[in-house]
Amino acid sequence: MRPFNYMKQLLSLSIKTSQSLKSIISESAVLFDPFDKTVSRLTYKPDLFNFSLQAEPISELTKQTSSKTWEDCCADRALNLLKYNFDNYWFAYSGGIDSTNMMSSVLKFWPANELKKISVVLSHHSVEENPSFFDKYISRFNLINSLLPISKMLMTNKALLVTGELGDQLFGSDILASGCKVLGDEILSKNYLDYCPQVIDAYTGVKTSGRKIFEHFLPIVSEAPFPIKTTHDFFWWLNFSQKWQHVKYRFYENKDWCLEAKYGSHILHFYDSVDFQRWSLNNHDLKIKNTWKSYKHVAKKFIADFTLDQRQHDLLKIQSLEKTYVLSEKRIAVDSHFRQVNSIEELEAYVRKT
Amino acid sequence: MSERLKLFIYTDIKTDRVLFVKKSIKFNFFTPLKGVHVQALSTELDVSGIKPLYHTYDPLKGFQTASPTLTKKDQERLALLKRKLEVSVLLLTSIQIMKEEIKSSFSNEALQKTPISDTNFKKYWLFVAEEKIILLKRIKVFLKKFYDKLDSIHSISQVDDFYNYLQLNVNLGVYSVMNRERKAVGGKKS
Repeated sequence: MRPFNYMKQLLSLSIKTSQSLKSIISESAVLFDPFDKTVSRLTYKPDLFNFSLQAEPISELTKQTSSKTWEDCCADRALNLLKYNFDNYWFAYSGGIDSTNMMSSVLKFWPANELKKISVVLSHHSVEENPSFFDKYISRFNLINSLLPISKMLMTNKALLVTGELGDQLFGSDILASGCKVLGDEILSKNYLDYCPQVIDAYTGVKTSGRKIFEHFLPIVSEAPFPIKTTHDFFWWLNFSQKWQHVKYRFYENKDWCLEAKYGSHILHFYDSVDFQRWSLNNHDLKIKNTWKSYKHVAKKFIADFTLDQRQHDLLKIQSLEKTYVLSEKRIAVDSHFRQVNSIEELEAYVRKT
Repeated sequence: MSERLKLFIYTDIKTDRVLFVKKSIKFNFFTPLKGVHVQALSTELDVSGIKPLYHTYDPLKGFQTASPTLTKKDQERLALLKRKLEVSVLLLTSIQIMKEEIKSSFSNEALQKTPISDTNFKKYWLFVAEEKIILLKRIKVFLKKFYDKLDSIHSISQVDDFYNYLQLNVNLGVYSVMNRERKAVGGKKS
């Protein structure tokens, strides 16, 4: 029997047909991906839908501080994975910064005898993106193509998939990539109040969309761990405090992903640790310098130090997840009981009434 | 197919009325849509005067002006078929571009340019060969589902909704996007 105060809650929203959502959402100005999918980890909740919060609230993270370095966090997380005690660990590798940092951590900190448990899930894009890393490190492992039905294979093989998801949320936001492209690198240090709407316009490709979206999220700044001043500050905080859960569970968005394959028992994200999140809160100065090229420079340095290959500093942030979705269909949403939402009419029951 | 100008003529099986014409040098635009007959001619014939629904086409008689009488039911049926064909051609264009990208990404020339040592090259080559098979199979399965769905639709607005949904929620052009943004670390294989 349902409890008296039963409220239908979503875990993750995937649908990109914002046009369709207009029939059920009154704040249509916010209906641009990913602004319509946010799940707030703050007291202020601009969420358009009722979500079950399945990630740490920011208040929990700020209760304690941490002096761990990026390398400390990488070491701890890599070793922590072994405590899950799987015989098979499959690492999702795109060749980009986050997954290369993840692989470097595992290769650096795992005892040699544990490395035989590793398989690498990738596509030819991953090799093309970083051929030298593939050649030197990845090629020695069992390779699994990411276009295969991975979720079913995980269950059959009793394997744990570890991904490089959530790296972006620690460092900043992809939104600024479009901003820098259109408005130049100077935009990174501009006053957020004046320039964020323009950056959002550049990202959505729709002029005048930015102002309404910005105003919708603006109150989050009052709960930031330090005064928000620049566009980089704002978009990091937006990504970190509002988009974390969406990214954590977006592996469900692909209809090919079997709903029985769950977070924690079949899949984990390397960057989903309290330590990494506290690092992000405490080391805002280490996320980017004054150019988009310098984004995630700490991670690139970690990779370059491990590989002794200075070219790794040239890795650029590239959207990699979508490349594995060739011709795959997205789900509309998944609810807090891991059930698929099958229609917009069904989705309406989850709309947040304010 | 060879690099010659082809004219694809799509006609209603029941009335021979032209539903759509499409010229292409590079791509093959055959479609298994139910109720539609597709003919491909290797010709530079000027078809600018051919109006869908107002002309018929028969391989022996060529293009002819259609009889002005058409029942309301047939008018609606043909309008729906025409819209399905338009959507089908749009989607096939994306798929054909994707196939081209697959062909060039997985060609021996492209693979040899990837800077992988000779020791690991065979492993990479075998991995990529498997990926190509998976992708082509995926395209085949996707097209079967696409046409099954399109055949089952009974109104133009449903066709439009379906295509809009596909554009937003299915990755149809990932290869082109990827190539534009690619930034590899390392030089070319010498």
